[in-house]
Amino acid sequence: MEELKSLVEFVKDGDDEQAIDLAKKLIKHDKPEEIISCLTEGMRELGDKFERKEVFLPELLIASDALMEVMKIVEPHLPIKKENKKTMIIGTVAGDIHEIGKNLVGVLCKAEGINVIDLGTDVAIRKFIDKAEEVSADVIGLSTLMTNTMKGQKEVVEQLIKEGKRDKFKVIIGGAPVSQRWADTIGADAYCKDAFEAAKYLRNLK
Amino acid sequence: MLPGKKSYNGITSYERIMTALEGGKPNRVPVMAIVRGWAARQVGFSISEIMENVEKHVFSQYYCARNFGYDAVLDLSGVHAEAEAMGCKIKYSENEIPAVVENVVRDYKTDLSKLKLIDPNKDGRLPLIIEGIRRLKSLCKNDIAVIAYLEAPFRLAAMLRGNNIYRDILKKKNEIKELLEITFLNQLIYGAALVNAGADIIEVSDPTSSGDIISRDQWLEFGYIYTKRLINELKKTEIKLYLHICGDTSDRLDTFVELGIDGMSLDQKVDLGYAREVIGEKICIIGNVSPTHLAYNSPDEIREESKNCIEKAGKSGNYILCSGCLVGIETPSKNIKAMVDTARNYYY
Repeated sequence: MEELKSLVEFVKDGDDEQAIDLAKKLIKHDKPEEIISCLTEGMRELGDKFERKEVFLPELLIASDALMEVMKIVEPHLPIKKENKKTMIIGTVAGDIHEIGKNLVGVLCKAEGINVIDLGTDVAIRKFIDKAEEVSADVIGLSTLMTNTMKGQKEVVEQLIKEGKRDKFKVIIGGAPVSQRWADTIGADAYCKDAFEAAKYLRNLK
Repeated sequence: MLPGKKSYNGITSYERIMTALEGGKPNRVPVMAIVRGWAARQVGFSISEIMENVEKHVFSQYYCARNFGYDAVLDLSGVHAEAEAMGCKIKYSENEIPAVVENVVRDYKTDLSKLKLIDPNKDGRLPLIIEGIRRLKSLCKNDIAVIAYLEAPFRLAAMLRGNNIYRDILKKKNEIKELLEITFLNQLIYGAALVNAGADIIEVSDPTSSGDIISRDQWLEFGYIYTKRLINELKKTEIKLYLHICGDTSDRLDTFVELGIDGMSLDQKVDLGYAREVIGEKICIIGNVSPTHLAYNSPDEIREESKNCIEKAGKSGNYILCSGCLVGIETPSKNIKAMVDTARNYYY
């Protein structure tokens, strides 16, 4: 248990080298589910610190890097139970290449046990919808950092309605220029102000 | 007569802006907008057209200042031009904002020594931008203020290095500081060229230091120091300088006062009343009507928001009404008009 606590601390501090070494050791005798649940708990604590402005994006970035590395070690040991796994498509909308926030959403949701499919940046409306249908996604997550491109989020929702597919997916949005008001305006299911809120939304999704 | 052409009580747009930047009270509230693609759209040009063609760019800026009656033109065609001149690859597209798609400092060990300081008269699109400033100045004379755009050393470092810069803040402090020494020198050279080209004012822009992204301490260590050095040097030419930083910078407003800048352009996330309280009357405050609201709210709401900004930060001058950040291309012109008219009707 002490070692597991240290692992969480290494991840939170973004000390990937120590985190990797310890994870390799722990996976030999600890349950992978338990390791991941401690890690996600640790990331939530980091999220609270972010909320209180005690840590900023650089700290989140190196912590999520370390988390990814540890996940790579732990994941292969997880028992496969795909049937109740939720799937989310994420991407930054067309015309926008900002990716830090979107990537953080991906890492944190993966840690919550979500099957995350990341379409990258500058993603066309069509691609979001086609991919979501192809993999029977539960959620489509749309990111944008610019006022110029926020219309892309609106267009995805509009296109889903036009094609009679709106009820098939939850649509969540995020990014600096957008807000709850924008989510209401375009008819998105949720506005998530940061990656932690997105992870929470996915976790609580029935 | 076009609206901006007239001087009010002998005061031109240029004088109004300069008066505010000097801490004074012009005859009415000065106003400007952070526009590039939007200005191009007003005259039927695409973003790629104004990026390639200096005449189209200059015309779009000049036309909008005259037609909407705001007080300054801001030359944003230079965004990422320094990074490009230093070897980064930029993606230009018809109607999207140019973006750096290939960074030049991938590995500090091998790539830092290869970096060359720019020659503003030769490298990349820099000669085009210098020419744009020259032409804007010759059109605007001393009627409308001409603002050139210069990236802060930390901003340029981020463009050269990419998103990894945020990891470097914690893991490669020495390397990043070596890079910052280079970008500082580089921006000094380019800044001097912009002054020589005839700019009245330089906007030093640092979205990388966004208050939503890095902490106050990180700003002080990686942003502040190098920006302050740059400003100290450029100030020797007596150019006016203001800084723009994105995001919520409420926890570091006091540091802006010590930078040596004439003004601070604040993002819409900062409450201007609070900013005025912290900053006092030491520097001019510029801002901060939300670009999202400009794009999607009604003109009445924009008038209300603009009036609030003025009441909070500009009651005794030392203030320029402006958008909090870049205005979206498809922003309705009636909303820009609503913002501008609010200032034009606000006499001191």
